[in-house]
Amino acid sequence: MTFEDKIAVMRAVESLMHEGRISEIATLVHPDFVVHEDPGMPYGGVYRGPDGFVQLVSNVVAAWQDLRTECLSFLDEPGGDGILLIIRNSGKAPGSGKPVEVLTSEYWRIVDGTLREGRVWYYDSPAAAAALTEGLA
Amino acid sequence: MSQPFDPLAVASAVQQNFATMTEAELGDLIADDCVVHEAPSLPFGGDWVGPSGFAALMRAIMGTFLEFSVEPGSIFSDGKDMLAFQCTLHGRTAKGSFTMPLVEYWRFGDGKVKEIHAMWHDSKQVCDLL
Repeated sequence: MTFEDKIAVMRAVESLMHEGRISEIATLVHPDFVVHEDPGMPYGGVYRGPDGFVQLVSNVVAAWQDLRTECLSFLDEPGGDGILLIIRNSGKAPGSGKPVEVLTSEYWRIVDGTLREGRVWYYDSPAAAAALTEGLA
Repeated sequence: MSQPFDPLAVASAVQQNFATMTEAELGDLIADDCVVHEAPSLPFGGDWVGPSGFAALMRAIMGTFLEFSVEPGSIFSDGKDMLAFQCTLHGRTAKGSFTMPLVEYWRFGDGKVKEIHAMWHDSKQVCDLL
């Protein structure tokens, strides 16, 4: 796939997420898909398959209030299947209502138009996790 | 005649020799106002400025762990002024060892490195091992 093809897949995922059509994201995810979220985040861990990815997105949306994701850059893996996204996540903490912002990086491996593998990094996950869970029981 | 600027060559030179390069050598590759951003939660967290800051950060990282090594991985480019590197870190402290993916974004300008963001996949694990 070309760099532009990979960007198009990620734009489609982003649009479905923002439109609340989360279950439809599964159509873009391969059955063997696996994604590794930073274990230090409230929704950290390993998620597998289309249902796992939908669960992850649901968990992320639940952990943030008024989540906004702004893709700052797309970076290509020349000759490979990967793409890296630099994203600014912003919103509020559900418990405290305080604003939270964190720089995030996402790696995705895309083959034949479907996501096969993912990994997510945060600039400072301990600080982000503490901010997001402040005020929660 | 000078060679055309090659961000990948600059980044590779720094990455392969980060532990041994002198500040003068780093100064040929890293801008005086370059800022390396490390997560504040990490023991070596914060902003490190210029070649001297970069060298100090490397000393701080190497001094934090009993053993520390970097296994290179994939390289990504935006086709303009930014590269990203995936690598796997291997480290050991008195409490245990870790292996984790890291991604770094390097932004270039005027033929030198201008800004680096480092993102550890599980900063909490590193903190817990110290």
